[in-house]
Amino acid sequence: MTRWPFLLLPLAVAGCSSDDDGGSSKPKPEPTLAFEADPKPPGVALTLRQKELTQDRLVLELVGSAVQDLYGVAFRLSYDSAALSFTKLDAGPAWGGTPVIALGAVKTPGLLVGAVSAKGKQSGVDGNEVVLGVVTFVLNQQKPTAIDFVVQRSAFVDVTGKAVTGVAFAGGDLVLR
Amino acid sequence: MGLALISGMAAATPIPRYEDLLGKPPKPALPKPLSAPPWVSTKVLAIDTQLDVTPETGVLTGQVALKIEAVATVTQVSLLIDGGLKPAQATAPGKTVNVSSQAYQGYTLVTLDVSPPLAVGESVSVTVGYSGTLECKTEGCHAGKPLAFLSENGAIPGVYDQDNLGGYNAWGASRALTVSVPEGTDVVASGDRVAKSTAAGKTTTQWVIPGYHSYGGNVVMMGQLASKPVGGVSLPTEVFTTSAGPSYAGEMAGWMQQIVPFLDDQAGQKLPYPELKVFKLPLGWLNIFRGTAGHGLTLLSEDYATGNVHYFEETLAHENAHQWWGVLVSPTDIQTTRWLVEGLATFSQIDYAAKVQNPKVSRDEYLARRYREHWLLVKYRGDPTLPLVVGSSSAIPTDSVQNTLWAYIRSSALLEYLRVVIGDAKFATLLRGWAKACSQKLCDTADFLTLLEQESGEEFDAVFAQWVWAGAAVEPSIGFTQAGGQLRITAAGVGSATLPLELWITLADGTLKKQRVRFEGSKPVEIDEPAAVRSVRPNPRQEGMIWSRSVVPSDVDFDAEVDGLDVIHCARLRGKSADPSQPEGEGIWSSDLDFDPRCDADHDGTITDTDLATQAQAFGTLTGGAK
Ligand SMILES: [Zn+2]
Repeated sequence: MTRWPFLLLPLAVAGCSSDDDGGSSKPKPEPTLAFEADPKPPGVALTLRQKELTQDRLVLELVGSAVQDLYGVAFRLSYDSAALSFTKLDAGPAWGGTPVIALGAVKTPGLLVGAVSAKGKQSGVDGNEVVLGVVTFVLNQQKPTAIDFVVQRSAFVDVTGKAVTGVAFAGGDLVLR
Repeated sequence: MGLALISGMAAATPIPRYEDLLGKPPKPALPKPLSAPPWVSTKVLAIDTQLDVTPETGVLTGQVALKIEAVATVTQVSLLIDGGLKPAQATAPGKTVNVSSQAYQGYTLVTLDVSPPLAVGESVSVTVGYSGTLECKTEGCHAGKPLAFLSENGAIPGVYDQDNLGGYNAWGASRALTVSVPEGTDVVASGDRVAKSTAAGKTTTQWVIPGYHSYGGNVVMMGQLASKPVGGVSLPTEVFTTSAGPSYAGEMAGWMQQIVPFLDDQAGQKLPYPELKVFKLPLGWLNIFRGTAGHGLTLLSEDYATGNVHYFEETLAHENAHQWWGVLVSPTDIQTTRWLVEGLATFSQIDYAAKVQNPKVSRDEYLARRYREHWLLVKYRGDPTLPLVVGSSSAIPTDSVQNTLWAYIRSSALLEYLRVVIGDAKFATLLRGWAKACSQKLCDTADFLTLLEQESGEEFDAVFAQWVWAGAAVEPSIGFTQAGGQLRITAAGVGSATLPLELWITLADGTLKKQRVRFEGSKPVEIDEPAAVRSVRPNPRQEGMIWSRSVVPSDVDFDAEVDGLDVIHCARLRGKSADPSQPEGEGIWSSDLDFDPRCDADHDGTITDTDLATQAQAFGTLTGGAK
């Protein structure tokens, strides 16, 4: 949930400079990006989980915990647009055969506005640790960034159309290590 | 004399069921026209009718004594009676009365030529007998078992003067009705019962209505009847049914225990009758006589119970609300409007449903949901450009659906809107003032406006000019910006209209603030608001009348952004229709009250993937308040 871009940036620069340290008998390993999810809160929650991380791209799962009669999820994710570019948002397997809308849009750099929702008259999704959506980013450079939910603008909506209360949101950080 | 018959709904009736209007030509109902001043040449002072009738066969002998006063020179008066009845001789002291009659659209039109003519200010009593067997080709009567009824323009004459003012030219006339039936037959009639006697195998009852102008006319029910008293209310009240069909008598008596105090509270006084009679018309009577209200008598057909019993109860509240709004308070502009009769009764019906039937639901939420239907019906099926008070009676829709949308639906939506913008407490005082000032008096829309302005302390001339005496779809697009502690709100798309609104301002922390404002054309309204504002929307109770949207297309929650919450809201509605008669529908015509026109981007009355695709195009637009 916290952002440390200014602390991490100098480390990254230092890391790059270590490439030239060829004379060492035990070379430092080249730092690589890793996704560290924030601790998962108890109860009803929306969290991020790494699905794939390569040199080029980061794929994160939107994981719903303790969801009941869930009709749709609305969220906003903030991140460093120098580090990541949003590619696409897909619905996750939690929806089964339900007709689903999955929309992601970035009209403000570094702010993904997303929605995954059933459409029409449907029964909702129930379950724990269910994958509601899959977000794909391109890595613009090997640059760390926090990836946080904008909590005030993120919500679960149940089949009656009401926002679910007491939902916790936990994002994560892309770090160099 | 040319008799102008105007098709249209009779006054003080329950809302027709949608299914019953479909594919049916409007019934040629007789008008009860009025004008202001309500008397042109002839003022009818008293109508005293004596009837001897066999309810099962319709064999009838009658006599009417009309006391009239000449406002201008009077040469002629006409009566409208059932087509099976024929007039006999007529007399008037000091006058010669020539009687002629002709068949007229299922009625007998009786013309009484008086000579010498009545001079201005002269009054005379004209007595005419009539007899025959009722045909009841019109809505004026029904003969048979187990129930028969008589009303005006049937066994009881409707009175027309030489200026072609019918029925309600009898404004202010007192009425006395004496009915003799075979012993063993029960009679319940409008009016106060003043006498009952039995002799020679006949039971005779006498009913009087004091002299005041009213839409409520004479109605007489005859048959083997049962009754149930309603306990614990402010005036003696009884529910009548046929003995053979007493269903719902117990339920109705229970409902009346809620309805009477509701009406007492609404009008600020109890009904001024010695007794209130509630008559349940039998199942199947929808097309004979679906219900009405007269002085101290409310009638409603059990056909209204066939759908949803709660709707039957609220319709009973509607019909009883007419005791005030229609019978006791009968605005004189009936020729051009129904808004203070059917509109107020529909408003009362919905208010009753909110207050008595759904006390646990948030009042704002319930009322907003109910008036959503009014938006749907008028937007997709009606004509918002039709004034609620039309320029002339010929502009009143003759199509039954259009007539209902005009008389009941849009008019009640305007009343609810006015209540929101002046506040519930002031509006309650206004209705009490309206009952107090106008019960059994001559009042019209202009008097209502005067009271509204007095109670609210605000000008409403412009609002009435826009939406009462003229019409328009009111579709403001609400937008807002915030800077330097100032919230600047705009309502675009309403031209130069004056638009009072109650706005709901939601702060970023979720706090809801209610703020009454008044837009004048495109001029923004500015409010001090240092806290970050999330959304600005009109109180949705106003939406039956004010079809508001966000200025940002596809934003449905008024935060000026198109995000996931907007998408989920509309996605849930995919497949829904704005049409009446929906399975599991609610409200007056079983509409789907979840239907949100804001999600219907192409305005075709259904929410489809096309509409969702339009919203998807706008998705992610962030222009509004707090991020
Ligand atoms: Zn009515």
